[in-house]
Amino acid sequence: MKQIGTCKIHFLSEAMSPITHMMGVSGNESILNRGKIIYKNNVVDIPMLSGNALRHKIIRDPGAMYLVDCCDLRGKLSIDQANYMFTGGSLTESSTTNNIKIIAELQQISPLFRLLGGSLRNQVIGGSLFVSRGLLICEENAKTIQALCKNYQLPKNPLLPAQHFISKFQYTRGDAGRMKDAASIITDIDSKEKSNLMIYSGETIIQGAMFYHDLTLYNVSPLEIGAALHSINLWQHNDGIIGSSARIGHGKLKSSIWIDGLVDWFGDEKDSAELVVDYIKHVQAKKDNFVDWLQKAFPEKKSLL
Amino acid sequence: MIKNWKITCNLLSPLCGDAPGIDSLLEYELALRLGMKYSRKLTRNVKLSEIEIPPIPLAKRTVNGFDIYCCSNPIYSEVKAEWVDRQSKRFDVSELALILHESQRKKLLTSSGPYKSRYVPLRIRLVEKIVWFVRGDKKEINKLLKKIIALGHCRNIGYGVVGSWEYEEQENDYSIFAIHQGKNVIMKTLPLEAAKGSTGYRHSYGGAFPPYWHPETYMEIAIPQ
Repeated sequence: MKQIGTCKIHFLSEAMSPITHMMGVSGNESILNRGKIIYKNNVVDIPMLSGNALRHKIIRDPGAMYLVDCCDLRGKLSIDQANYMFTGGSLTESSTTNNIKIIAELQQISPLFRLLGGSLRNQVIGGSLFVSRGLLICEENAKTIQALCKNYQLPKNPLLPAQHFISKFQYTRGDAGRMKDAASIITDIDSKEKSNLMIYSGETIIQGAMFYHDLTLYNVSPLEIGAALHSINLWQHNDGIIGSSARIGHGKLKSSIWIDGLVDWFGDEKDSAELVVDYIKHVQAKKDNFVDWLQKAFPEKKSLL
Repeated sequence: MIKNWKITCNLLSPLCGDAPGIDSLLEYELALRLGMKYSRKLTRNVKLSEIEIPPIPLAKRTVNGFDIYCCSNPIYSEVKAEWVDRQSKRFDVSELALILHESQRKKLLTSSGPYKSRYVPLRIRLVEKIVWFVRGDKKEINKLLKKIIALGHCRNIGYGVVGSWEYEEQENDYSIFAIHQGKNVIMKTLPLEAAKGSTGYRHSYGGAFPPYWHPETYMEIAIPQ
């Protein structure tokens, strides 16, 4: 297999609904996840999307779910196997030896997990995926975004300050006992009982705000790039969800991507659609091998697969 | 050509944890490129006598019997802010319940053990530049450093992103010692024996040579203050 080196996938993501990617609460109001940056020699807090959340939502979750469906693993996985595929696994046993064979097999069989890395029960496997934080495209972040984009020029129009993109939401959680038809549905309504109706609120990034973020795939083969692009496709087909409150329509991102580093050693540029097709073919051809590998890496007393 | 250099790394995102020694960074990158044994995964169980040290483009100097790379510890520009971020991880039971085999659908302990939900504190510092003083071959050093895309911990989730590397030639060699008021002030972590007669350090115990985290390199050391 021919290596093509390092590849960077740039994202320009537009919020199609309010983004509620939270970091905690202040009083009874949830507050947006913020990162500190230096702006005009001052430290300012700017809303941002964490790299950890982006990594999980864009690559791991859709990529692992695809493998579950493709390899017909639904209802068949053990907890350890699911833990490895969906959270990266846990190191639970000590070991004085590295099982190179099992690592080599995984790297041959699954480009997705070669990219993400993870932890078997007794050894950690390094990955090659670097996910940036999601930077709000605003006046304060303009310099950093331009430096990250490198060869691509941002529009010359002045950007708006971050505060312009922050708004608030408020919802009410209903109380079944106080609903209009409650008396006809619920038999034992106690009108003296305290209502559990609850107002909840928080900050949000408004619809239409834009984010820049990127993925750097370090020393990877075409199949790993295909795996990343395929996961991105799946994430986008599922509305590009990030952050919380997706159940009420929040957190939808629509992304445009451009890619640096698809040129191989011979100067030929790879077509991204072709890379995805190659990855899908690879997964389908290695289905059984992947299932065998899962059994070998996370053995159960009685085989479940 | 071997000269004295001040190497500056401009960061585009906050640094998580500490920056590495530049000797470790160069050894890691060169070992990877040469495809050397254990280059991708060196653990404490591997004896250092079993591995070959990659020939990095830094000069070495013998100080009180110890061969030491001519490179200072990382020096941070002003830390503008310091805080604790959290990295979270959880086994999403609601998403995975139906994916699990029926015999595996049982009560799962998520407050401890292998499936523990994590909310790990990360020490984050907002620094714009990290500087190392080295004596070495700039062209070869740059060949290795230009491929380094991030420094520190949690590089995979966006911390310590490298914007650019800058090189400034220096007249004097500040890589191991700098002269202050006629005395040698140490600029890098040294074996305590090698720091004898110098000043500006605190006595500790730890790694004195790369890989600094490997127990085989542990000894009495002098750490620059």
